[in-house]
Amino acid sequence: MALEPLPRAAPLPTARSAGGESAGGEGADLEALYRRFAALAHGIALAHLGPDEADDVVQEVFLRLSEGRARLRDPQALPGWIASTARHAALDRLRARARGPRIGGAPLEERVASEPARGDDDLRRRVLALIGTLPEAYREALVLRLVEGLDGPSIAALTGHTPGSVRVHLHRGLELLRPLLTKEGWA
Amino acid sequence: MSSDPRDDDYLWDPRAPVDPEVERLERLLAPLAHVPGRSVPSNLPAGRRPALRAWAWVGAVAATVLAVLWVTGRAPDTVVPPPASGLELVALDPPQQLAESAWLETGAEERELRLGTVGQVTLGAGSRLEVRRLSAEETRLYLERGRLEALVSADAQPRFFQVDTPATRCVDLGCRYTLVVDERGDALVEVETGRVAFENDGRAVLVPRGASCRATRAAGAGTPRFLDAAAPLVEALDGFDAAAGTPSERRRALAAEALRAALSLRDALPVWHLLQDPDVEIAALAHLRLAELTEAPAAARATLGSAPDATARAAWRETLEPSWW
Repeated sequence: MALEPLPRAAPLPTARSAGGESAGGEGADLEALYRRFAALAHGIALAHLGPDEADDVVQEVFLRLSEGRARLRDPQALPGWIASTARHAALDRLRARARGPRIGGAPLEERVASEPARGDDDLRRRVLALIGTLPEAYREALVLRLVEGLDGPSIAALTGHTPGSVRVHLHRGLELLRPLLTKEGWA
Repeated sequence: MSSDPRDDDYLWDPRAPVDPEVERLERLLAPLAHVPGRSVPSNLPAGRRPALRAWAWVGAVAATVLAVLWVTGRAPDTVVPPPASGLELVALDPPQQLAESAWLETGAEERELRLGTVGQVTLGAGSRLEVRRLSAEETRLYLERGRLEALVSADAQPRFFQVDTPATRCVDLGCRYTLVVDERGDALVEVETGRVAFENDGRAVLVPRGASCRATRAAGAGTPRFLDAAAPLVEALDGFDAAAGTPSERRRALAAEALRAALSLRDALPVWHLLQDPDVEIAALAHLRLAELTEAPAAARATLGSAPDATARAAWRETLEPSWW
């Protein structure tokens, strides 16, 4: 029996559905690619790498797009390509680091265990580090929702997952995150 | 909070009544969100660092796509792939272009190969490789023996890069992996990122990041497992794989032993594959074991106690995959 194909990219959102401007015609639509999809690339990079290099991954993704290296056959594949390229770029950077770090500069376990929360910045990084311990699909969905502010249907459309699985990823991700937050003193 | 995803309305859709816990997380984490224009690279190597500001290179994206559209006359909703003739497979040091049917054999040194802009292959010392197909749609190599490390760009469509071995076909689904073929022609793959599939005679075995799988000439692909799987599970799976072709009672006993050794969601990777076993007794046992490891999805419950149908297998896969990536 052949494996069922993995979920592929969802249809490219229209400028209207993505909240972009469409009045300028083709040119405006093309320029809107960055506005539409940078948050997707950033969220995925953030979920794997943490905040320090996420912007660089976004840059890398759009540079590759501009260099014409994408072998995209139709525009519907674009969100999936961006998500996949951001994920690979983030993983490449992770490999380049010493084994262990995932979020931020130090090994994740050290960050979670050793740093007392001081102010919102510290807490923010620690919560993101905890999200970074979740399975990939859960942490990507949670970062896209809680950090980038995308709603569930948009995450499904952009990542190519079904709405049902994104909903499950969000729900289970939060379920797994909750006891970790409690341990961290999150009331 | 309820364990039913349908109760997470605000988490799913911010237009729903506010969930204070989720809203607090949103407020805390929102400053980490992407800010348009902030992505001008700060620490890319100098050679790659563009002088353009963010919106200038967004313009470059637009210009590139528009230029392609102008040249090809395609409709504005089409992004055109590069021509098939543009794909080259080149062995480096010294440069050597490889065409279909060409063989490449390494001596004491490994050799690096470049596949257009989408792939990079390192052929280990003492390896022998044939180019079987080379096109923009599909590239297929044959690793007769030795070691091959493949890095396939995310640009490439899944299944674009395939490596045949005497024991199985290794199909790239977007990843980096190492494939080793020994003197008997048996193969072992270890996946570093993404996923690959071993395919034999219509049967496919999924090997995700962090997992490995063996294939033998006699029996084809075995059962995948994660590299950090516990020794009892690994031994039990090895025993089960080695029993291919033996009487069904023995295979069932070994399958039961392997299923008992599966204790976590990550261990569900091999268990999920046993759902596809041609022996319905083994498939049914695996089905029950999965339901012991985690809550069965609704679409799989109806067939619990018997071999799962395609719907149940797909439902299990959707449930389990997040714990594999």
